[in-house]
Amino acid sequence: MFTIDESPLANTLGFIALASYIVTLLPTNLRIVFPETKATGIPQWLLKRRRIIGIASFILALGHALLMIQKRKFDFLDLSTFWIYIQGVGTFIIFTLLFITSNNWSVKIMKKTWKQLHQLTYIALAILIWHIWDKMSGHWTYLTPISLIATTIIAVLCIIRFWMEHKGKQQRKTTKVTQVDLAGKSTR
Amino acid sequence: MSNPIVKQITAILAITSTATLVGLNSCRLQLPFPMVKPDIISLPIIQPDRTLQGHSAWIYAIAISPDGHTLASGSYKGAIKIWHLHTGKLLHSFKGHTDAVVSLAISTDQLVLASGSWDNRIKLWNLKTGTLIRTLDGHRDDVQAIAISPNGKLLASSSADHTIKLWNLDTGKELLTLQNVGWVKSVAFSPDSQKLASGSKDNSIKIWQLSTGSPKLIQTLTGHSQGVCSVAFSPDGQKLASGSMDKTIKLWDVTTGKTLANFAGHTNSVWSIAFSPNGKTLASGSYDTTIKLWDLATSKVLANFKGHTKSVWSVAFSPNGQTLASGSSDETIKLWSAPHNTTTHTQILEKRKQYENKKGLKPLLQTYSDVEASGDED
Repeated sequence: MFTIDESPLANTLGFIALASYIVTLLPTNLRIVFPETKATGIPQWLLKRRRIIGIASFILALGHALLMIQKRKFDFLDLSTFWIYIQGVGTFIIFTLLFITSNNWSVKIMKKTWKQLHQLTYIALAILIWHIWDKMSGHWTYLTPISLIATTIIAVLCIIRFWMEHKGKQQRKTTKVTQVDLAGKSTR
Repeated sequence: MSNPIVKQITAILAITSTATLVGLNSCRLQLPFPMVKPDIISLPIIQPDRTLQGHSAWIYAIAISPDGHTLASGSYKGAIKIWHLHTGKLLHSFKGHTDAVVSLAISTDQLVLASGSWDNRIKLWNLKTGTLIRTLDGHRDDVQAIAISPNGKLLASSSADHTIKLWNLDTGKELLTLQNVGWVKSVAFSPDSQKLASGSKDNSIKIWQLSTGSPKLIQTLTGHSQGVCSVAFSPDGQKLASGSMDKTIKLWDVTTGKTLANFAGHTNSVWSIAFSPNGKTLASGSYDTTIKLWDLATSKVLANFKGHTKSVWSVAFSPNGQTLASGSSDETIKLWSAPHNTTTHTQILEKRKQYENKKGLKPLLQTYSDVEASGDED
């Protein structure tokens, strides 16, 4: 029988952490996939506050993890614990790395590497969908479908964005080649 | 990922996490500093008689039926298996829970098996037919512990939603809810079904009187320095034992609320305790992978049961006290010959020798010091 439970505090914290995380992904994706949203000023507004929202997301995720550890008597001395909770542990490691490097000093020091490191956020998105699905299977709360729908939407947006960026790059390459060709022809 | 800084960060993360995990895993078995007093030197080490395999996940709960024929086990994956205790044959597999089964209880008439799960539900199963009787819905968070009253009328459940609920076992009707009792990790009924004990994360144990209309709190026992993971009434109902995350077990006088004894020896949290049916000994299963048998008269360890390779989550005595069963994170259930009615180490050793001679077995390592000398833990 399919039933929906009320959401305990640990899950609620996890849900708010997820929502904040999705918000950090929104500005770039909106700007590229829906360029018309630029006029509303929403992407810029979100972009300005992205760092603080990201930090909030990490703190909420930390709260979620601590409550779960407290509640479920995790055996940290058993290596299989880390395997069973691989999605949670994986996302948490990524979030920690992003949290630690969320400051101007890191951006300055790491330069190009900072951008590469922060690409991990997209890996976290994939792991999070798996995490929600795996851990909530069979005992959904009211928040589970909302979480799954929201993560799926943002994942689809990301895929469209990557595809558009890839297409744009290819177009720019073609244009460059055509321009070089034209330049070559005109000198002949 | 071609950037050398990324490579360096990845390498440092990989090395530190591997070193931490390996370190953590090995420190459970051998700490670099002495944690246990030499009290356990020259104690007999009892090895399992039989190992039941069939679960493919951590075993969190076990229960033995009052007739001593059936053993039930519940796992992290939500599977419940019913075994014949003497033959080790798998009788039934119950599937229905969608998260870990962390607590099991069998009714005195041996008809009902109750299971508490992290999926917030309690399920009642018919042990004879192997079918689901009903699901008890009502908790809003993980069910942490359940217990069936010895008179077979009540079922108590505690949950991470900070409540304890009492249910009518026959009808499945929720009788009452004790609100804001904190994070209760364990519950136990007294042998006369008149009292309910609850062990909580706030380090306290509460004893409730059930005979009146609504349960009345009659004792709050304090003394543990960390959460109480397990509670059990002695067969005569006069004493209560509690196992805690502070690595100790305490014995309490139910009437006065005073501590009668303190059992120290485990090197990590004590997840489960069980009184032997004669009330003379107490078994404890711990995060440190060992099971210990304690003499209640002297508060000393009578024997160490070694064989599990991971945390022991649950221990239970057979009604005749001859078998001790344990469930562990190593996905096995082990059955041990519990030295019942014995009070001295020599008697246990003698019993073991007799058993080995009778069976024509090669003598097992007998003492802790032998093990130390051979360098072989198990």
